[in-house]
Amino acid sequence: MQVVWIALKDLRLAARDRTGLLLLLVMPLVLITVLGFAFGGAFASRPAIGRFEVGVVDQDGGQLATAFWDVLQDESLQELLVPTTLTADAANEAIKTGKLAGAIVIPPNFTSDVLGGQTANLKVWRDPGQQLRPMIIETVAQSFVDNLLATRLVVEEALRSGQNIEPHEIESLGLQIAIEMNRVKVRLQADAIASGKHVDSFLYYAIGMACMFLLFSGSLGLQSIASEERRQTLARMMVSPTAKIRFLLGKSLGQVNIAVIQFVILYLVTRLVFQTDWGSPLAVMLLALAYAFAVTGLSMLVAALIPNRAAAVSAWSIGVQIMAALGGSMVPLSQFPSFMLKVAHISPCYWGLRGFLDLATGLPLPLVNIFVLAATGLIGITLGTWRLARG
Amino acid sequence: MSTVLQVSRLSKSFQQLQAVKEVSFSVQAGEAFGLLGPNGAGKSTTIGMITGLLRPDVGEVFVCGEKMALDAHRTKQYLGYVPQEVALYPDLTARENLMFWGRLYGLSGTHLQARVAAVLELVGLADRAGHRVATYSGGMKRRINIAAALLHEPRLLVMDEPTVGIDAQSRSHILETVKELNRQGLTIVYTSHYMEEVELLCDRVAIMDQGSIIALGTVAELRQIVGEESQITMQLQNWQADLADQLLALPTVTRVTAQGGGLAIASSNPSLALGSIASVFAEHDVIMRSVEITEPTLETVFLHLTGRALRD
Repeated sequence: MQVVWIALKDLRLAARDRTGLLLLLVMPLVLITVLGFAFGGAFASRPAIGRFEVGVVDQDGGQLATAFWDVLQDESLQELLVPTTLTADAANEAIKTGKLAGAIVIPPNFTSDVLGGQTANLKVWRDPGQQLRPMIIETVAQSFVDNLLATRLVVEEALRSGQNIEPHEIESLGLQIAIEMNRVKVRLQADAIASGKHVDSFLYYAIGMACMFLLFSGSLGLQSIASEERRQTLARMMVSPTAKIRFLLGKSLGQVNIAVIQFVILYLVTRLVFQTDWGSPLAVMLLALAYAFAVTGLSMLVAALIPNRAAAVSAWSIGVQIMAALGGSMVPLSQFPSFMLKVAHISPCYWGLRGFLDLATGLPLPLVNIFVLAATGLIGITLGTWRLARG
Repeated sequence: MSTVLQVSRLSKSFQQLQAVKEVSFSVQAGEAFGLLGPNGAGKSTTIGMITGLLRPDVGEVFVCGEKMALDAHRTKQYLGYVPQEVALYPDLTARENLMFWGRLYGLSGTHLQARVAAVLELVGLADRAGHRVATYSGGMKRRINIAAALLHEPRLLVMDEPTVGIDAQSRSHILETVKELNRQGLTIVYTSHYMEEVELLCDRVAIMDQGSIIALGTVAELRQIVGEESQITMQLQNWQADLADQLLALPTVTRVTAQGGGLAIASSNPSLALGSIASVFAEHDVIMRSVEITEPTLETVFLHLTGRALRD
């Protein structure tokens, strides 16, 4: 029970710490408001996009698939697109983890269905957290479909006017095969990997600021340990029948509680004030718990590795800025070049933010994100408390 | 009478500094034992080892017959500790602080509430229990600091300079409280560099200097070290260092020590000595600003043993 009493005491102290409340609650709400309004108009139409990868899932392997691959590699698109062949699973995972803005899926039997006059769906999977790049992919795919339809109209007209076109000539035209059959029904089906819900600037920054300011709760955790040492309340605890490991676990539990309560308040206020839809509340809370756990673990690790508490708090504050920037709290992940997206994986903020974005767009519980965050927390708390308890 | 605290040959070093050297003593049940010495004498390091906060390099501590160590949780139940700092949470009320500390000692429910009420009554702060500690005066904080150490009814109360930095009235209240606790049978180890406090409270005293115990006994026994010597403390003007040698040559003067802006002169017959001293001063045009004659105290004992004042 000592662990629980220490955690409850910290919770009570946090509730009475006006400076802490300002940092953990008021600041993020102010920033969400400012950034939400500031990026409200421009959020979905930022022009700078750069060259980016587009996944091509070729489940067909037919003539039309080859033709489409050629289109994607056309000189006119080289400055924009880098087509990459992927399996369906790999493309799906890459989109979920933010590595790809989208993928074009050429389903099995696409060519034969077109040739046979069946309905054939060319699919586009897109990352709902990104705006421009998926839109470009959809445009390219749409353009291909439009060309098919336009060619069909031309051939239909040619046949109708009595021109003599041999079937092998039409085949040689590649895309016109289907049109020659006169029954082609090709249409574009653009599916967001999620339900296609839009993440507006308020929702994005509500998530981003929550992820960033939960990191600051780690700073308060470090200050709390420093304060216990300075005031000799730690010495008094160590003279009582309280093992140091229980003290540290109590501090960890208290910090997780504080971070979760901080998140719940930010979640509720942004829902009520900005009408943000974070997705399934239960899944959101589970992810928030994993994130709070990760933050606590990392701060315990910092406390263990940097014995000078003032230096540890400073290092943490700097680390928060870096982790938040890398994780997408400041600049949307959709604006990151691909190498930065790879680097972002080292930040717990990235895993939290991506997970919340997934939930906000209707994706199921991001188990990978929860696993990564929970493992970070577990490793941090275990190593941190072990080392601090020995110190 | 049973031994509540047994300290055997404790030594502790911090890098090159040997803070405590071979310190041994024992404290019997119901006794008030004082550790007296100037700042840096090794008192707090000794207390740290007694309470299990510091691991001795050499030596052992037994509390109520059980060995003390950082993880000796059962042994720690016997011990109450009043740290030098006010080890409380300023943003919690006195009652919330006490409830928290009581719970760490395994107290709960009505027993915990009764103990909190009892210690608040003891330190005279029952009427302020609902106020945050941050709003208390220094003396009130010190009183709650003591109350927190008494919640679990320890058999040994260890107090590390519990009156540092407080006003005379609060100090007097604390000393009375400690005396009353000792009258009720609580064994106390009290450290201070205020010799009056130790003289008032303690049955036996160990005087520490530079990590070692240089004298140990009852207050009366320690006073006998300096015999019947009184101390003449003078504030002087226009004097040179060689004045001490000339005073030491006087038959009624046994020791001369520079102290502040004057001299501390030990003499077994201060009335007689004063005349001779005045003559020496007149010869050298030394102006006497003030004179104070004090009977032998622990301060005198410390001065006699070390050649330095307790608060140098």
